Amino acid sequence: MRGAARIRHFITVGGLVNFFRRLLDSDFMPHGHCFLWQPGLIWLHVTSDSLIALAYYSIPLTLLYFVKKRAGLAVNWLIVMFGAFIVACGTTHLMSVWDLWHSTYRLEGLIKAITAVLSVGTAIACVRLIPTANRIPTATETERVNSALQSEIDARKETEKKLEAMFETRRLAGEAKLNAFVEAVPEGMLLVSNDGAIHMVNRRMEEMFGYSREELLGKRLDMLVPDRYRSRHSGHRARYFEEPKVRAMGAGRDLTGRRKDGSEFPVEIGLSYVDTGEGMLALGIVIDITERKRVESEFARINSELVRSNTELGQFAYVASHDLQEPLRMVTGYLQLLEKRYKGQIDQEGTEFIHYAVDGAIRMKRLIEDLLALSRAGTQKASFRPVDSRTLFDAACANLSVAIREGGAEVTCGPLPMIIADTGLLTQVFQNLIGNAIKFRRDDPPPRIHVSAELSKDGSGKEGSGKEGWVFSVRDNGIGIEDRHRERIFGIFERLHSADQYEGSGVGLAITQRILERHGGRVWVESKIGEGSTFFFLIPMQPAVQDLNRVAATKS
Amino acid sequence: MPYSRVHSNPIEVLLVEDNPGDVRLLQEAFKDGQFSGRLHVVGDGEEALAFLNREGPFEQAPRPSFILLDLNLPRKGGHEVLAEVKKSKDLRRIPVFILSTSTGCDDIANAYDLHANCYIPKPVDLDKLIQMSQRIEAFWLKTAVITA
Repeated sequence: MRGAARIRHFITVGGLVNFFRRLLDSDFMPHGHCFLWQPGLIWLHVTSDSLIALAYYSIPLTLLYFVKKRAGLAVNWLIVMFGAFIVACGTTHLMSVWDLWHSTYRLEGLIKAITAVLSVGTAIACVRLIPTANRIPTATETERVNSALQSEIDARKETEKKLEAMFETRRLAGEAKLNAFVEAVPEGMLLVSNDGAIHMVNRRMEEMFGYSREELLGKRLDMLVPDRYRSRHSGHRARYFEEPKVRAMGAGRDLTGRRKDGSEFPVEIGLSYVDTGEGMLALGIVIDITERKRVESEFARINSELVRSNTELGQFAYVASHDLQEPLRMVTGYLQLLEKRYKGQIDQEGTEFIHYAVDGAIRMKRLIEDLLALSRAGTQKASFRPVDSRTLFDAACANLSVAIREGGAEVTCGPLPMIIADTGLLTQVFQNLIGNAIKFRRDDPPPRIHVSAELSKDGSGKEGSGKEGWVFSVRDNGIGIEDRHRERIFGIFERLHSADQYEGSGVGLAITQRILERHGGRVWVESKIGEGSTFFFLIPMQPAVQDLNRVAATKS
Repeated sequence: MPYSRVHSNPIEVLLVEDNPGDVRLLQEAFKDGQFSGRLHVVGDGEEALAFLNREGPFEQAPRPSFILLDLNLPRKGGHEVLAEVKKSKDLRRIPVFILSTSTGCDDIANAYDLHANCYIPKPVDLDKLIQMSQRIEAFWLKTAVITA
């Protein structure tokens, strides 16, 4: 068959079947014939091909090992292709050796064809791999990178060392600062372990207890506690370490400290705890409270003195109600008896003298009674309870009925609220203010008095006291009060008129003021001469009952 | 036994008062007020109880129709005398009138708590004192009835 026909025959199905059927046939002349069986040439080929095959077979094994070791390698598929290509190449060389003596050229051709496919595929893959391969650093490049990395590592280590040194410096500086702080604390500070050993003290501790630092450190805390308290104190300490907690200053009992010279002084201790590496330490703050104790006892002394003098004042009221009035009654009684019994024997002038003497005694008695009333307004027991202020107004008007009638007064009121007050005391306030309004009337027009109340958020108007409550007003059309007397009239025995014009001892408004103070309220006045006055008083919603000053009322 | 307002015996009154000036003034006022009774005067609480119990120098003392009792007394105070009188079975029906300068609420309340029959603040004015004696007579002797 001619060439073209042969190829055409070969590629037909029949040709292919024929080819594979005769794949292992040795129907050609062995290749050795071409070398004329010259042993030198034969062995050159055999040795070379065998070595090449051996080398080619070893390469995939090495690659296999490499791939196994480097599981993460990105180009595994290429290595597999490359391995297969080399195995195929090795096999073609083995076939060359085989075919020196045999003539299975079909098999050799097939193997070459497989090798060709694999090698072409690998070659194409290699070309496509170039961009990736280009990125793989070369050894020198890696070397360079590595050395750069190394120098960076070195630099970092250097920096780390520097930082450590700096931190150490800072730590030392911080410690020194902390020490300075501890030293500067104006109160005693100490650290104590649970066995009672002193671990730290500051300067103030040295000053306070008279021991030097060396005498204190490592010693027992007991040395700072008076003998008689030591066993109790170690009990306290044991309990504290069982359940350590922060105890603020002033939260515990006042304790006693013992100085080196044996003298004692009152201290206050605040406690906290520090968990150090070597175990729990109690941190104590020690304050010398000698001065505070002195001030406290001074206050107590002054207070008891005040209580005593208040009690004496209360007793004065009692004395005034009894013992001062007795002799006065003698004077009055016997003068009047004299006047009565010796009427004919005493002339006009004598009778007049007796009259003045009696009048004086009676006025003195009234003064004493008013003084007594003032004292009682401040000291008598009061009970603050809800009460309808209208009933108090009515009671006051009833008590004043004679004066109202005689003065021709008209007393009216607006709606009056429920308040918290002492009934008796507040009735007296209404009575005093309405009574004054009638007393200090003008001749004409007839007295008109109006009482009203209004809720105030801040204790009303410009004179407000900042308290929420009811502001009552008692308005009259009387003679009025000059502005300069607005404060004075509330003073005790303060009078703006002579006894001939308006009788009275000048105690009524002082009593009123005292009663309102006891209710936590106040009284003030607005007035215009010749037009009238309005007295205001505040009763707070929640009367902050000022009964602290009240002495236990002595017998009155 | 039917009672009689017309006492066959004179009305006996015990006045317990330590101040001689007061005693005299009261005596004068009672005289001026034409008080029909007879005033027996003792100066302190112990004497008052001795008089009422007819002890010591008061063995012959009459049983008073009523007692005028001051509160401020030496040795034994008026409140104590009042308490003892009102505790005694024999004496407790005798009306006791407290006559005191004090107008203190506590004194007044105390007196009534101890069953005083009335509490009279001592008047300052002579006329009022005379008036008082007349009113005591008018009420206690002529209006009310007391046991003998």
